[in-house]
This record gives sequence, structure tokens and C-alpha cells, in this order.
Amino acid sequence: MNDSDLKELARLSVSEGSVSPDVQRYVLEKLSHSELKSYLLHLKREIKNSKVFIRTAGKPDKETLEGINKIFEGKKVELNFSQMPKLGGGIQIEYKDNLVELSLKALVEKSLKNLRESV
Amino acid sequence: MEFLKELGLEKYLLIAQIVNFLILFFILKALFYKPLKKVLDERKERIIKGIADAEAARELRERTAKEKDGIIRTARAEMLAMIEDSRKAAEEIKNKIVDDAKLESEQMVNDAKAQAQEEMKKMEKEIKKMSLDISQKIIQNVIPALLDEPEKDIVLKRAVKKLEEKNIYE
Repeated sequence: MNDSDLKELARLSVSEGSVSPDVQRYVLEKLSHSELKSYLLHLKREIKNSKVFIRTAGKPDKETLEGINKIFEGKKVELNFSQMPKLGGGIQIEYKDNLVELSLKALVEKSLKNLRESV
Repeated sequence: MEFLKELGLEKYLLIAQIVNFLILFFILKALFYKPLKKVLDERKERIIKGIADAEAARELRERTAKEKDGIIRTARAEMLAMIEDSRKAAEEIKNKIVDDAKLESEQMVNDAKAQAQEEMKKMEKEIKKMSLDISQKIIQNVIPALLDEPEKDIVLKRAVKKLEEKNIYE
């Protein structure tokens, strides 16, 4: 089994929500040590990619939550909300290897970065 | 002839003496006068030559003294000229050294100024960076308390609206 097959297997395992007993048996019996290692790495990555971390400065109200859910509508992702007061205001979204930040903190840091570059 | 007798002289004896004298005179002239004259002439010549030599020596001495004076004057003039030349050369060297030192000092001053300005710029940059670091720390502490809850809510809603429009997740 090559790397792309292992990646696809890991993706399917995560998309189903859990690894079925048949897949478990196949993985444990048929995969070599290195293949198993690669599969687990892909699985870990897929689990991470299936999660979206949403951080806000304060507690979002119902309307805001609906707006956020609307962004990820139809996507097989798990939304994880948390509060991060140091954002000052706005939102920070982390998914896959991306970080989208529309916050007061990011705005200030960007301004400071521009200032630093101009010095 | 009486007076000869009075003097106690005999006529013949006197004649004999005169003859003797003449004989002796001629003998002496023949034998001694010429060599003596020759010796005297030679001596005279030597004396004349000595006098001439002395005169020549005097003239030579005088000429030498004059030449010496001339040489001394020339040497003095040359020496004075050399001293003047040396003085001028020394003056030129001194002026060159002074000019070079002036240029060098000006260069050093300019370099020092440039270095000071560079240092000032660096310091200014460092101070700006430090002030930005401090500002960042202050802002980081202030940000959480900067907005009240309704304001945070407004900001959040705006941010979510923007994200909805952008369709960030694919």
C-alpha cells in the first residue's frame, strides 16, 4: 500500500467518525510497521484537519454562532469554541494549517509590525 | 824723492813692492777674482731670486688671501643660499605637514561626525524598537480591557460577517 492509499484510508476512517472493526483488523494484520506508522500519522493529521478551533474574546450570542456555523455549513468538521480574552475583540479561526484572525489584537500587532518595518 | 826718504822708504824697494803688488794683483785676479765674482754673482742671483721668490710668495700669499676671502665669501653666500633654501624647504615641509594635519583632522572630524550620526541613527532605531516593544507589551495587557462586552460583540459580528463573505473554508 502506497502513501496516497494510506492517506485515503486515514481520511475515510475519520470521515466515518470512527474506525470500523474491519478496518482495524485490516490495519493491524496487513500493514507493515512502517505502513502502520504512516497510517497513524495521516490519521492524526486528518483528525486535526477535521477540527476547527474558533476563539473569540467574549461569549458569542446566538446570532453570531449561527453566522459562524454558516461559514462551515456542509463541511464535515467539528467546531471547537473557546474564549480568548487577549484577542480584545473579534475572532480567531484555526483549521488545518491555517490561522484566520480578525481581531483587535491582530490589528494592533499588524500595525506594530508595519511600524517596526518602517523603523 | 825726499819725502820717500822722510817716510823711510826705499825707491827700489817701493818699485819692487809695487811690482810685487801688481804681480800679486794679477795672480789674485787670475786665480781668485773670477771664481769669487762668480760666487758673488751666483749669490747675487740667489738673493735676487730669493727676493723674487719672496715677492712671488708674497703675491701668491696675497692672491691666496684674496682667493681665500673670495672662497669664504662665495662659501658664505652659498651657505646663506643653502640656509635660505633649507629654510624655504623646511617652511614648505612645515606648511605641508600643517596642511596634511589639517586635512587629516578635518577628515577625522568628518568621520567622527558621520560615525556619531550613524550611532545616533542606530540609537534612534533601537529606541524606536524598544518603545515599540514596550508599546506592544502595554497594548497586550490593555487589549483585553479595551472594549466592553457590547463593543466586543459588535466587533465579533463584523468579523463573522466578513468571514461569511469571504468563504474562508474549502
